[in-house]
Amino acid sequence: MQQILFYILALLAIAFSIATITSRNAMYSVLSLVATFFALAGFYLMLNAEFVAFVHIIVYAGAIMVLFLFVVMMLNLNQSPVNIPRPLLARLAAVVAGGIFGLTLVAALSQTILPTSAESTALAEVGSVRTLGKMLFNEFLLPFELTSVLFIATMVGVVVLTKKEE
Amino acid sequence: MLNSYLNKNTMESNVDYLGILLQMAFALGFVGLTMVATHTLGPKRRTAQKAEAFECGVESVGNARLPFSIKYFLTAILFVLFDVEVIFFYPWAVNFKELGGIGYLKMLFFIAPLFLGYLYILKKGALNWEKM
Amino acid sequence: MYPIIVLSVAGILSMFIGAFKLKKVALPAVLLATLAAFGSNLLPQNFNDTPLYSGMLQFDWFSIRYAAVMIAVTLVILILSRRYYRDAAEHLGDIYALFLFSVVGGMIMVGSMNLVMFFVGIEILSIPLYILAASERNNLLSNEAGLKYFLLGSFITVFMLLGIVLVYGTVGSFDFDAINSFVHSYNSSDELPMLFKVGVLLILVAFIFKISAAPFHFWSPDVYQGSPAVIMVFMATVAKTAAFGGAYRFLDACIGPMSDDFSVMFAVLAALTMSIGNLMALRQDSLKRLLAFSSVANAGYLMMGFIGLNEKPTDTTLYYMLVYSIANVIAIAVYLTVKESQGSGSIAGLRGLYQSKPLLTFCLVLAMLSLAGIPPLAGFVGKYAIFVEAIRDGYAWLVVIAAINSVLGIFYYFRVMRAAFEPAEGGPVQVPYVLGYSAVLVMCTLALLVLGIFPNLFFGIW
Repeated sequence: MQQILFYILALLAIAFSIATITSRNAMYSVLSLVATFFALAGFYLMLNAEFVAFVHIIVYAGAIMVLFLFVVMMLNLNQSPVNIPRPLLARLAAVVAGGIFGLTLVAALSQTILPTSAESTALAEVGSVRTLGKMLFNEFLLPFELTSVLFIATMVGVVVLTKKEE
Repeated sequence: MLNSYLNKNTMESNVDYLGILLQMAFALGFVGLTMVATHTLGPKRRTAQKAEAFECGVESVGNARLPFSIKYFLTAILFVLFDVEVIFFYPWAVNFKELGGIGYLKMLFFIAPLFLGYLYILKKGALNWEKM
Repeated sequence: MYPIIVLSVAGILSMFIGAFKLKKVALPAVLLATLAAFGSNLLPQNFNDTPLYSGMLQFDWFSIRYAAVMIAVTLVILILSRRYYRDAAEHLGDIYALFLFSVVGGMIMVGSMNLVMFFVGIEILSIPLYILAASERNNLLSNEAGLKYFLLGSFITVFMLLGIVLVYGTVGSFDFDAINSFVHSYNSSDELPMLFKVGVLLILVAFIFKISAAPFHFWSPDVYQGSPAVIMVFMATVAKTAAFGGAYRFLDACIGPMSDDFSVMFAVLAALTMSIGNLMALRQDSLKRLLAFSSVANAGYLMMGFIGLNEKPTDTTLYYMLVYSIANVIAIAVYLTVKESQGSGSIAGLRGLYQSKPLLTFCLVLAMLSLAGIPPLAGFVGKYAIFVEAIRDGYAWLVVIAAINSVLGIFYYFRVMRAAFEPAEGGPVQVPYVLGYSAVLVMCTLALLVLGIFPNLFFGIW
């Protein structure tokens, strides 16, 4: 059951992410990305990372996608898609570089024995909101508090970039 | 190797999501079914007038695909910021009792700068639709 | 930790100064806050040898020194920014707030002892920079610079995150000490899990991007040229210091003994970076673009400091960075005055500078000589120290390439100097007076001289 679910989700994730980067229409691209996010949320659930799964759906598939759609709508879609020249050499280089990178990751993954089964029963609760909250408010308190500086910097940035001063 | 990753997840907690999964399947199925059904069952009379985007006797002018104003973007990105911020409330709420007063203070430290940020946005008029 | 708090609070205050449009107060307040941060950084209470806050942040001598240099350079840049932001000031306080937040990020980076902290730091450093790069809203080049920097920067962040995830997956901890003892638990780094190595490499890729070294340097000329000059110099000095400090911290405290495995990689990349930077700089007409390529070249020299990291002091890199920063700030300050009077940012626009502003020309000449590495200026001492250390580590070939590159560098630095002495076509340049501007410039220039003649002033105080 787990395995079947895994393969279905994997297939969906791969298919939609390919659709994201290949579709010519920006709108379809964004919608495929939403679908990819849902598939990924499924993975997180299977790994018992409930919190991450929910956050993924609420923030990414919800909020960030709305943002992406706005960005797409700010573009002028009446124009036919711009033909950016893509020299054959550049394409070839991209394919080779991407291929090598993928190969490295796959090779590294298959050669490495990750810490599994023995600790995994203890890890089962790791992704729950409860454990995560405890870690966030004790061990990772400082990065958590400093994230608010990041938020504030972003707020200032948005205002500086988009607003005229009266 | 894949199995070793997956086996550790044969937890009961996964079964809890069966309901959600079923509901999602039902919702999607309903939407799909109604869409297919209305298209196939309804009568089809296609005329040039019916294909018009606006039908109240007014000629439609221009194109529907106009670039949006930056206002929408500003509002959307501010929404995302506060949305992400709210996410941090869930772990706090779940552990509210254990974290106690100290936890409250910790949260306050996190949220105080963001409240100041909110005041800043208000003062800058970033949420004022008319003046943008 | 104190300067982080001081500057965060100051940033929030400055942002309200911007919101209430108190333009007269903005700069003095920000300068005062930066001074306070500098002072609090040197407080004995700020020093701690063991990481604080569950192993997150450690303000040891290393971080304090880097923080001191970053804050000091920021202070000078802020003073000089007066000329740039005098009347074109939309959102003045807000922009200063972004400067301060960015410095906060840099300090977190060099002080962090945990990958999560580290990531938060690098983001707090970068996001204000993306915005600052695009902050000249009506200038298309500035918009392009911001967008380019943002897209490439966030793309590289993804690589870094993947690297952090892989390291976490193999080690099971974000803590630098835990990762360090994980590396130590293997006899040789050949036995380390492949996935761990790939993760470390991906994190290093992010650093190579941030310090704009080859092969990830392509963004920097465009971004530096497009950004407002004040932002450009901030990126080339403070942000780069932070990136180098962060890289040192990661190589030294996190992966420790493993960092020697990357020596050859760093050596090759350093040679590549300095050659590309210098060769490209030879052909530039725009002063900003020339400085951008010179910044790439300098990243190459600085990367030589990553070789054989475990046996050497980190002072030389910081010294070099400080000296390079001062020279760069002077060059940009002169550029600002010339741009204001001539409206042209090209090297030819410098013509006639000597006739109208001999003092400025003197500063520019010394800055260029320092960048070129001519004794007795500080740039020479920095280069010399780095070269000597590389020879000691057995990388004589790299030093030969670096020496050839230094000679190449002299060509274009002298081109800038020569332009300043040539007579202008339309008579001497008139530059409006800005309070304290020349004084700060002269002080910077003197610092270059003093640091060059008495380098022990720097190496001795710590």
